[in-house]
Amino acid sequence: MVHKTPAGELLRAMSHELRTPLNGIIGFAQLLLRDKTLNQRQVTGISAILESGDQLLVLINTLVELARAEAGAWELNPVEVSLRDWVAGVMDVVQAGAAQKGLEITSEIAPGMPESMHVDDRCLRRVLMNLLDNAVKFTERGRVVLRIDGERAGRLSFSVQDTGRGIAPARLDSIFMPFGRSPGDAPRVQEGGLGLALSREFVRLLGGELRVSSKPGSGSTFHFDIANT
Amino acid sequence: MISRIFYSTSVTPEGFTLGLSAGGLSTHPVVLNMIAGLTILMAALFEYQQQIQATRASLELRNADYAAERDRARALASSVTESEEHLKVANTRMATILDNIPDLAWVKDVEGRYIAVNQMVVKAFSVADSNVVIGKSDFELIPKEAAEIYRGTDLEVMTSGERSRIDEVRRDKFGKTYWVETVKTALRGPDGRIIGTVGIARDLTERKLAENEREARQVAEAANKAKSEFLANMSHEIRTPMNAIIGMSYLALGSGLNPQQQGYINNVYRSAQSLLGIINDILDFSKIEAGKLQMDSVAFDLGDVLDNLANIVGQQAEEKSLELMYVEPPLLPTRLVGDPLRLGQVLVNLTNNAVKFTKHGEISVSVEVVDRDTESVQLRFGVRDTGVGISAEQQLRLFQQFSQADASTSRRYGGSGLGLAICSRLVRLMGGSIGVNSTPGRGSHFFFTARFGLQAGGAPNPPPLRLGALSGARILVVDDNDAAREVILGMSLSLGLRAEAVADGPGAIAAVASASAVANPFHVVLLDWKMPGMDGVECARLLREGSLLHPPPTVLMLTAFGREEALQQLASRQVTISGVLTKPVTPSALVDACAAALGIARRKDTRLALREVARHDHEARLAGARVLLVEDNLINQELAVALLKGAGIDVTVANDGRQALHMMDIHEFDGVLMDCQMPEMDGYEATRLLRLQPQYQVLPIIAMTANVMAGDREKVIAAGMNDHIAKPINVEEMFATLARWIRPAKPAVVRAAPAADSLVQLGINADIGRAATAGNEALYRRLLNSFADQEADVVDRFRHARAAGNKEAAMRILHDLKSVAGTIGANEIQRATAELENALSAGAADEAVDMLIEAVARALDPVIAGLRARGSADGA
Repeated sequence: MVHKTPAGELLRAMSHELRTPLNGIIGFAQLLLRDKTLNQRQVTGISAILESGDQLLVLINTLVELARAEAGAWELNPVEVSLRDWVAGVMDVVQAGAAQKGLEITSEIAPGMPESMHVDDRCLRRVLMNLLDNAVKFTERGRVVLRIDGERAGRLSFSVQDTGRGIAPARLDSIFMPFGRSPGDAPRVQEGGLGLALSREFVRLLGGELRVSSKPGSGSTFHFDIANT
Repeated sequence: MISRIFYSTSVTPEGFTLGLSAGGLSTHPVVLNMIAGLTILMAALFEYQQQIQATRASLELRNADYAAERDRARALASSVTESEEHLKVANTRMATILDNIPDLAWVKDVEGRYIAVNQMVVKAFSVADSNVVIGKSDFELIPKEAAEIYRGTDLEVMTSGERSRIDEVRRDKFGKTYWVETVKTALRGPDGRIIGTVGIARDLTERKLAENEREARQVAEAANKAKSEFLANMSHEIRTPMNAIIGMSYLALGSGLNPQQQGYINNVYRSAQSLLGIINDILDFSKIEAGKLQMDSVAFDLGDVLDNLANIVGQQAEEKSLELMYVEPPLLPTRLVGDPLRLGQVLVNLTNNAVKFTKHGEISVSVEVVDRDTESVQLRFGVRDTGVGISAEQQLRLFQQFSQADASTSRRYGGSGLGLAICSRLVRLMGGSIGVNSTPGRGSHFFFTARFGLQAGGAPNPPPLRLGALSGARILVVDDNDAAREVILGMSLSLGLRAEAVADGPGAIAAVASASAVANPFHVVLLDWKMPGMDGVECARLLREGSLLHPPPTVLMLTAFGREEALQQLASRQVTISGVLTKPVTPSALVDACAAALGIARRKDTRLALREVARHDHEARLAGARVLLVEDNLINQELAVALLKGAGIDVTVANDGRQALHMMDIHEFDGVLMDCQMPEMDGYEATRLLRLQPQYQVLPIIAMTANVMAGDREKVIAAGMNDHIAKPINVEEMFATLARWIRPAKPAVVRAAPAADSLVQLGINADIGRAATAGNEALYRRLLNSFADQEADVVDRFRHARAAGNKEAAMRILHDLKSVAGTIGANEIQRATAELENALSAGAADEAVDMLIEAVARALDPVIAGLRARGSADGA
């Protein structure tokens, strides 16, 4: 039995009602910031409104996505992409953040992997970006590796390994729960504690199961495999 | 324990009927002992039987062959009889034991034929007695598939020689499921040979059901806990940025933006409020569904709830030109105990809906007492509209849980669409019920009951409004809307005013004239602004111009529209009136307005004004306090700092609990404002650590958290904090809570606000002016400025009119000056003008009049000059 997000149905049905006022907030804040007659204090205040609005929008979008994924109301849209190019594209985005922290971030594609894959590009990208972002965030030194291999025929196996602080065994289950990362735990990821919950749902949609193995102090590995349809 | 002794297997012969009756001992050791006993008993039995058989055989042999040995044989026969007696006794003993255990017990031979069974087995096979079963195998008694399974386990036990425990699930012919545990043991003869099996079967159904139930309960509890944790987290995650948005726009509104910028920020503010409303609905609904919503039980004033309703819904009604009115008995008990926020939520929801679905006409909100005793009162609230109405079919679904189909409706009309479902659940939690009567096209009437406690020690009824000098005043109500007119007329009569009502402007003029003609003049005319034909402004002008035997009545404009808009209209048409009364009119507002209009001072005790005073008081008490703000979110830090500094509080910021502890070592603080969820060290932990140190045991620590789930307050108190402020921050509540706990060690020298100070010097009672403008500071300021502009030449105008012999115009000028001065709180001018007016009416001598004119000028000039100075200071 999958844990259904409470209020998920409501959030899904209300997504329009939630976004409408948010657009108002973000839109008018942007409009105001263009006004060059504002003094510094006013600019700071309105920037704070805009920032909070953006944050809220990401949060609400993610909640709604999560509820949609849980309800199976997510239409997959698989496309044919070049495996190598696609991975390079993902790595480009996360490279900067890793470099800033002085981390090495690499991708390894096992020999003999097919040239192309046929997947829902958006889902898979969200999952990997989230896992790589987290890996960078929770690793102080060392490296982050994205590995792709295909141990079983017709399936692609992905893993994201870091040399970070690791996760205590007792918490391995709860990290996939929505808001499972307790607030005492380092700064929030973009989706406000929903990233792993959403990633797990997306991997399920792609026909796999996101798992983690970790050793506190020496790092974590998130892995999953999906069908290369 | 048992599973370690026995190897276990599971057999499920579906559809097999055994018709077991319930029962069962609770401890397995008893079964084990019993089996051991039975095995010994059976072995003894077999031994006896075999002895007997052997003896008989030899006896017969010897009998035939050796007649001589007959005597010995007789002796032997008697010993056999003795043995048989023993056997009988043993048999009976065993049968008694077997029949008295609540389990099924049997013995089978190696071929699987029953040798012995107890009464439970007889019952289970539904046969007359044990003889039907004895000597038969399972194959002759039960379906083949089941018999095969049983035979299989019998053979296993006999082959291995070991005990076996078998758990099986059986289903009887009615489909009822039984859990049965069977223990089978090989039966050995005296020579150690296996000679059959012994079995005992026990019905575990009851125990199993209890176990399943317990497991299900645990799972449900865990799920419920996860659910409420999720909701608490989601609430926190959403409210934190909401707090920043609402708070920052609040601050921006007061930062001197130009009108266009103000408009933009207003939109941000309104969007944020509407978003918060939807999010609150979603969270509320989810909380109710999870059984996590708890009702508060606090002392509150029903009047505050109704005032708040008027503030929230009044504006929307106004924008749609709808009449919004209150129908409440004058002796309504208002000092109640209950949950004012939830009551307000239901009322706002129903009234908002009424406004939303009504294009023309009126909305009335009524309250009545259904039932009361010494401790509690049951009230019935009604919200009636003249809107689109609701079909019978829709009415049935109205209060039901949210369904997808409703989403389209909510999309069309805004809001979450959850409102009524939430209302009906809240009403139930308030011990009442909700209902609706509606005719499509005619309107709807929603009503609900709710029970509240009555405040102990408080007067059972509110003290009746003191009419004082107003008692017996003659009031004319002029309103084209029948319902609105009747409500205000009824309210006026019930207050003891001598009131009459007419439906339009010409009617009003006629009524005023004829009342004056019969020497029973009206003192106050309550005049609706928007009326077909002659509107209120025109009517007021004509009333002023009519020639009457008595001074023209004081005019109060009734409006559902913005006060300011009404005042602008009046100004542009150069009509002066004494005041504006905003609909819906409450009894206290009516008395206040009439008293103010007639220049009768009435103690200013409107709740709104009291709140205003309270806030200034709180802020003054807090000024100079040194407060440590512990908050990780930068935007919220900034917001809280701005608000606290505004009240003269000296704020220091710590980013988390650890930093806070560190700062406490270095600086001294009068109090701590503590966010609860923070990285590094949260607020609960920091508080616990602080409280361990003797010097911080009584330091006020106030939690500030975005969690507003029931139980959060308890949690912060349990952690050692003194109180709790919810985010998004309600500024008034925040200062009230802070003032309750924090006492500055070095209070700031309290300076009265310079603006108020200068007004006092001018002899203006700003409290009266603020009450007249319902606390709208900007409006009051504009009124003061326009007074300075328009009344600067009033003495000249009056002298001019008098010199021209236009007594009427002169009187009108004085009358206007008197009422406007009263409105802004310029008591001295009002008093001097009234004296002059009276003197003129009484036909006083010119010298006396001149002196009084001088008195008015003396009162007026410094006020005009002072206000002009202030006005230009404001503008800078």
